[in-house]
Amino acid sequence: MGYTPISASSQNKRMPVDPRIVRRVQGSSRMMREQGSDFMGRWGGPTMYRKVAKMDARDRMAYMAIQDGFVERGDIAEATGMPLSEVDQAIASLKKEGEIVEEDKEVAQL
Amino acid sequence: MRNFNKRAWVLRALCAGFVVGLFCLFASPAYAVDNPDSITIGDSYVFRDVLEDGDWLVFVRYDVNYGSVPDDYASECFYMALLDGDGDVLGGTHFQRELEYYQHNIRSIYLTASQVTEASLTWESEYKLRVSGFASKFDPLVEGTNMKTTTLTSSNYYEGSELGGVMLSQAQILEDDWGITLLTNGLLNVTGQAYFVEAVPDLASMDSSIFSTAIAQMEVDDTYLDMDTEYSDALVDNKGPILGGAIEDLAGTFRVSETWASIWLVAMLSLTFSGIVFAATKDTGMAMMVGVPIAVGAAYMGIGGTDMFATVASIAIVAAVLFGIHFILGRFAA
Repeated sequence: MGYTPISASSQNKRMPVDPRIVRRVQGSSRMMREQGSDFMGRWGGPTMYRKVAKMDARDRMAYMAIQDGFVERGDIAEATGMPLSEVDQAIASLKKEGEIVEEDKEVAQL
Repeated sequence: MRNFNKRAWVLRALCAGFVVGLFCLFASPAYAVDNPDSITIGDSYVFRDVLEDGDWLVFVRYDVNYGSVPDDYASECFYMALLDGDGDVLGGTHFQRELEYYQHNIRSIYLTASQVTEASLTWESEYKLRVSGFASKFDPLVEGTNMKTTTLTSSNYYEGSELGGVMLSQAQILEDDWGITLLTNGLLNVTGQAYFVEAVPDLASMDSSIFSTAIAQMEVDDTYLDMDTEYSDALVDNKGPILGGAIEDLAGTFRVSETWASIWLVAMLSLTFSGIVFAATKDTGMAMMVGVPIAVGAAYMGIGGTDMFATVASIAIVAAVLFGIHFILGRFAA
């Protein structure tokens, strides 16, 4: 079974669980052992999950695509299924919020 | 020119800040919350005879879907409720329960046999099940926007013996959607157990066979245990309704147990008076002694429950031992 980046999965468009569930998993060593390399790994850890849960769906998809290594706006659009105009809006919003660093911004604008 | 006492002014400022802080806490207004992107009820079940003959377990799988999850706790914004056939509220708070989480999740209401009988609930009747925002948080409440209601039919009613199988199939649905592994070898693993027991508190007693880790209660021969809580229960009456209500409010505000709220309150009171005494006397021993009568008074009023009483008793024992060592044995040593 191939690995599907979170940015390309349908889960990214709608947060599957309340971030407080992730907090509970994080608080239990046994639960972290069960989920650490699976759920947490795909989302980049509990802190990342809570962070992106606060973003709107458009920004979250673009952000996770960048985190997954998609650097060009065309690649981000392909990975997320969003049109280029929405990718541009998401990147502008992420820039404004300071969620992507300068190198990411430059790469994302290629 | 008046003598400026810096320590006294600092103390006054601290006291004033404490009082203002308390006012701010209790005067906090209710804030509106954005409507969810969607609100749905996936599955709903009513089981009977799960813990005792005639009891009911009302179970719901819901999705209060937010694109951007709110900061407010779900328990302060949404609840599930069993309603009568006309959609009117059934009497009693046990027909309603706050949701613990947003997004796709599960929740249940357990009704004892006596509660079922008292409300004259009829098996396989067309009651309504609702997942809704609180009116204090959503204005207006609109079906399909921040409230979802479904009507139960006979197909929603199951015998208690079918509970385990249904819970496992619900876990599979959640696992597929969440991407979190809830089942191991077809049974609820530690993670699955945590969420299902949170949603259905007595699930382990209702059907322990669905858990990968079983917990059995030890049988204790209590023939020789002769104790009751009559005295500590009587102490609770000493604090009166006003103080009792204030502690309840404080506990609700901070979302902690009343015992913790009480201990915090007593600790703050001791600290405040110790500070005042220290400022006046500059004597550390005197300042510390102020806490003792406050703790004794708290124990007498049943504040902090048996924990406070046990604390005071422990302090008394330690004080008696120290007194014995220092004063009685000290005389022999001399």
